[in-house]
Amino acid sequence: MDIHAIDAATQEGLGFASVFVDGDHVGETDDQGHLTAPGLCPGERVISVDRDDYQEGQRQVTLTADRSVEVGLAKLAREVVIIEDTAPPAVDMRATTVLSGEALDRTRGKGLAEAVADVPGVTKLTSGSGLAKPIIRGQFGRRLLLLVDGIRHRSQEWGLDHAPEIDPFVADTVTVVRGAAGVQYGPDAIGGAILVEPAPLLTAPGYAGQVHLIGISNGRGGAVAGRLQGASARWPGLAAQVEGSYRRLASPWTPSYPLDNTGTDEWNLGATAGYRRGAATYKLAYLHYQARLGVCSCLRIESSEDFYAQLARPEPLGVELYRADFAIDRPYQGVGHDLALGRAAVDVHGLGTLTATYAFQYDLRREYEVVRDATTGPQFQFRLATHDLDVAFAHRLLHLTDHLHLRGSVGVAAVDQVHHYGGLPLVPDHDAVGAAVFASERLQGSAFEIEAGLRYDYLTRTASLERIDFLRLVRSGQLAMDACGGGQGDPVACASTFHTVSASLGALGQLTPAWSIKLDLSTASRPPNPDEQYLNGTAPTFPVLGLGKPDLGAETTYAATATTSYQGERLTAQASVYANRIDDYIYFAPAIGPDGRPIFDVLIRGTFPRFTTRPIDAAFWGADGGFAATPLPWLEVGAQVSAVRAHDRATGGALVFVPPDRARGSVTVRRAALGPLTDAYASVDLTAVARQDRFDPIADLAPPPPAYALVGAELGATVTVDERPLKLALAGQNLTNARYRDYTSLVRYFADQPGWQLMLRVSAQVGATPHR
Amino acid sequence: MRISKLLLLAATTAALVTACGGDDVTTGNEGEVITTITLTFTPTGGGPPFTAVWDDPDGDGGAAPTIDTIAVGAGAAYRMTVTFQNRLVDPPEDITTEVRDEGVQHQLFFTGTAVDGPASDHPGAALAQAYADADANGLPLGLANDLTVAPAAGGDLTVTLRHLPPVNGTAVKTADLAATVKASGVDALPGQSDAHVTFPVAVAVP
Repeated sequence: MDIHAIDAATQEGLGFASVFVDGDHVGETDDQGHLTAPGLCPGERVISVDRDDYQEGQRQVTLTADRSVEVGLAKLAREVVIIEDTAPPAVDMRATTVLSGEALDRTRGKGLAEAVADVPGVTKLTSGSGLAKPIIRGQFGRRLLLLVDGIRHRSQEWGLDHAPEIDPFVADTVTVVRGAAGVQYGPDAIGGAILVEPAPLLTAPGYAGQVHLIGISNGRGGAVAGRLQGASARWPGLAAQVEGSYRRLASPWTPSYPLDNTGTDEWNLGATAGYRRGAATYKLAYLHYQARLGVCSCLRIESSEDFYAQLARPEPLGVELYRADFAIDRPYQGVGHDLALGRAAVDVHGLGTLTATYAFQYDLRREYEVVRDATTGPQFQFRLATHDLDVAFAHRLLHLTDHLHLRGSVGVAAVDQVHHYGGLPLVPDHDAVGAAVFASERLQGSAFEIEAGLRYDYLTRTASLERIDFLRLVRSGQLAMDACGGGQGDPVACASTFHTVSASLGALGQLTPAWSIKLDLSTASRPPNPDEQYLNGTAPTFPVLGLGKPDLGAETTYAATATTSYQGERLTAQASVYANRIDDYIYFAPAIGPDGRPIFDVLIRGTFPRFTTRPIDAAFWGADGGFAATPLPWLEVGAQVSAVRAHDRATGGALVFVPPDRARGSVTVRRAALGPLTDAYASVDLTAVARQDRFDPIADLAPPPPAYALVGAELGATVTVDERPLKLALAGQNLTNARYRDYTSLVRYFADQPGWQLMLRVSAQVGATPHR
Repeated sequence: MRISKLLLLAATTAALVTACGGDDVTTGNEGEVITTITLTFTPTGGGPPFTAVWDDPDGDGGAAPTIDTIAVGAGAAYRMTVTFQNRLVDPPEDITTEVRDEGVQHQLFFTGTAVDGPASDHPGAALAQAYADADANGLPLGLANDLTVAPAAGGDLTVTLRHLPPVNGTAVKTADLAATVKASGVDALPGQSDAHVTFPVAVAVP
């Protein structure tokens, strides 16, 4: 007989609860809340389930051979919030950070990249106020996977100025995995993964809702976001939610001038329906993202002459005409992203859970350059349609002995993708089909866990090159005339096939109840993207002529990570060291001629440096970590540091866009009650960023900006209105109005970063208290 | 059974989504590429005109451009007109009319060691250039120019087509732009260069 213990309110599994049949202890549930009790005689039985923090739950059942019974337990009212009372997912063997609850609330109103940028080891690559993408340990874009509800985000992730089309308000938790995670998430998770998990649907009948209102002083504007959830009483197991958000921001001011035309206009809508019956769950969801994102007027990338002249100026040319208004003129990006998914998870005869997920994504990116008035359309248009199908079987926890358990899963994945590009010569259309098979097993002992995983990916991709573009590739020496099946037809079809293997071996040791260490050895291989193969033209973000390499192979990383964590009552801390060797690392860097000097090409808009993609052997290593301590009940002190080093193993040269060392410290004072306020806090934080002293003066185009320090502060509290909590927070950034530039920002060549900013957040909840 | 139904439903949803978002008629190919710049020299004293062409018919990347040398005779005077083409499309597209129509947002500048003119500070250089046309506001445009050739050594002539769209509604094409270039170079201009090419100049002294 299968027994499943659940929280009656949230319907989530209750791990480690004691199970009794007719008063006899038959065992404890596993971390999912399951227990298989074999050898019970048929007949009337009383099943009771007990856990310290719950009222005992009882059910009388008529036992038959394959009976499965669910027992719901009500949480004890006297209990204060317990960290992670629900079944925790298996601990990742890499360094991970989970943002949820208050930590996530503090990021509301920010973009996704900005929201995760305070995690140790994570920074952001920016190209404007609404244009940012995360960098994890020096890796970003195509080497970093973003997953929304377990679905890999499929978009034009290759461009430096292509921000992920994800609404951060969708997230209920955000998990940052630092380190190669190819087995779990796909072969190109070389740098890590960011998992955006939406709010779980309600499981108890009723409704719940939340609203966030955000006002911002610099980048004047605000955001409104809401979510309404309901679960049906008439049709038990049926639940649904709708959510949406709208963000409108004007261009922000630097300390001395506005960053003209960097406004944001973004809206999102989502709807989810779910049904659960017994152990089976079904889900349908749809998310739409739509944004217009201004690109700073200060960017002078049309000619290298203008670009280099701007480097010598303290502020942008023509700054007297700049405005901090809402208008979004050319150049700007118009981006839409649709995600539709269907997921079913069913129990297979008590052997385990079979989960099948199908997702369709459509990403439409249009980029509008400054053009003559006679031209009205976009100059670059990318349309990417992707179908993903994943089927995974997670076998039930196998109890090898009393203290030794085995959990694991096997699965297959398939992808079908079509890309249509229109515009100035840049990248080709492509069709791609891929398949993967993976398996992962984890042995869990009382004080240790060992995990091994293996994944194989197959990808075949056909790029369709306009004949004129094919011939240009031939003329620039990137392709042989007889390449791509003799270069016949128009368009010319250039096919590439990649076989890649990812593997990981991880171990976790629990040294004391509070202190653990983790070790992870991983390898993963990433096939090149079409732009890395076929780019041929001036790059969209830099005044350089970019040439791809059609015969590129996959790059392969060999990564080792060691992480130690301490989770005590008054101290939580994590520190991680890592080393990645990446063979055939696909690198976009200046082309050097036989005389050892950079190559320049004469184009219609002047002379441009030539950059090419080429495989180099790279190494990345570093350390990151942090702690949060509560020396007194009302005082919290936290700090974190991150450092990453990267070089070309052959030449010893530095690689571009590797973030400089950074450290952050914060002090928070808390008061449980303060007049009408509860949970009041005040915090001050200081972020210090070093100058990047390891750089390549030719590839970086300009020396890195100086070091800087930023001061922030936040006040927050909860007021209760009509017995409903209303959370208020006032947060300030760059309060000293420091003038600074970020090494990992494209804007740094032209203008300063925004000056001081205040953000007011109001969050309200309605209906049943959301489960948390 | 349930799974297959669900997948069918998901696929239908996906198809609907595609239909909503994908039926664009715009190809996105709204570039404004210039591949070819032709300078036409018409002797003011009569005689057949000749041209000098800067041509990169396959655009950025690919083959390097071909660049004619401007061969002029000392003492001669010319009307020099400039035309722009996009030869990536067939038939080639003439861009000159667009530039003329939007003359209040465009200006050509002539610089280089062989040029003495409003934007070029090389007194006594071979080619003395003067604007011979104006936009709707009466400011110089530069599609038509008067050139006189002095008996001096050759050098080079750089033609810059600058696009000067208004910034937040304020026109940035002003009367003193050529002087700005003369004093501080093309990169001190607002706007952006749609073309910036250099021809060698050879002067035949009779």
